[in-house]
Amino acid sequence: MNDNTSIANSDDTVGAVITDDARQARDGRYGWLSLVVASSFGLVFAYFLWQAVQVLFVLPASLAAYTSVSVPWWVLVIGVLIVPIVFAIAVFAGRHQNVGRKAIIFIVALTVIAGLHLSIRALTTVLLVAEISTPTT
Amino acid sequence: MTDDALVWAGDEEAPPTARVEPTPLVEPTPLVEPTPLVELVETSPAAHPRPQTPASLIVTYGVLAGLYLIYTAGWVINVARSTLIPVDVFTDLMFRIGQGLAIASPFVWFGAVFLLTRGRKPLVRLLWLLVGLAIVIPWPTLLGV
Repeated sequence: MNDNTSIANSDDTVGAVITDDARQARDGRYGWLSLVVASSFGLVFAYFLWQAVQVLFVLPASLAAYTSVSVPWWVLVIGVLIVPIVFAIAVFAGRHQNVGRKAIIFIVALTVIAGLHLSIRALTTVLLVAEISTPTT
Repeated sequence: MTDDALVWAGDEEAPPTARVEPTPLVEPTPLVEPTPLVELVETSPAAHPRPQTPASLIVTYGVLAGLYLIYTAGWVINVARSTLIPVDVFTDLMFRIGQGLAIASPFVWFGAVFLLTRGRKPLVRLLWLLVGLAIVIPWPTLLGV
């Protein structure tokens, strides 16, 4: 609370916010600036999570007409879980870094999750195609 | 009027066409004593204590950079082969952005490792680069999708 008051009364507010953020980072915490950065990236991560959850519900419903096709649940569940896991790793990895280095870590995490998202989609497609093309006994 | 009236005494010693070289008030002296080149070469490592990167390490970085480049090519191939089924503008845009991020993932990882491990041991940097090779694999291309 005292930190917030000092920031508000400071002449150089931006500098004070950055200084405060650096002090928080030294303690392994997220300052206001870092929280804003993390939240901004979190929104994009949330979109990827939403996409994965959508596939988790829509794909089994679409496959319901084909009784012989089993849903690759494990891949779909991994697709959902991987998003918060990668985000959590990025938050953890950047806890002692300044806001610029945190942003770099989040950018890396974002590109990684984009690649993993496409990989999960590809794996789901491959499994379904293999399932359909395999003759049932 | 004779010509003697137009002649100054002593003009014989210094004819009017002759120029006098200006004499500098102070003799120019070099600010820094020139150092022999051999001495400079011998003392430069002491002046810059930063250790030189071993050639073997540079080669290793080069090999890893090549692998990351192949990964990037793998993602580019996947994106080029993919067909987008239009849903709505926002979904299509986000899908394209996702593909762009996936293409950038090897390059971003490689660059970020070099930025974030500055001043750390080369082994740490190599380890993170190897971890990246396991994470940003272009699986869709390898799976033939």
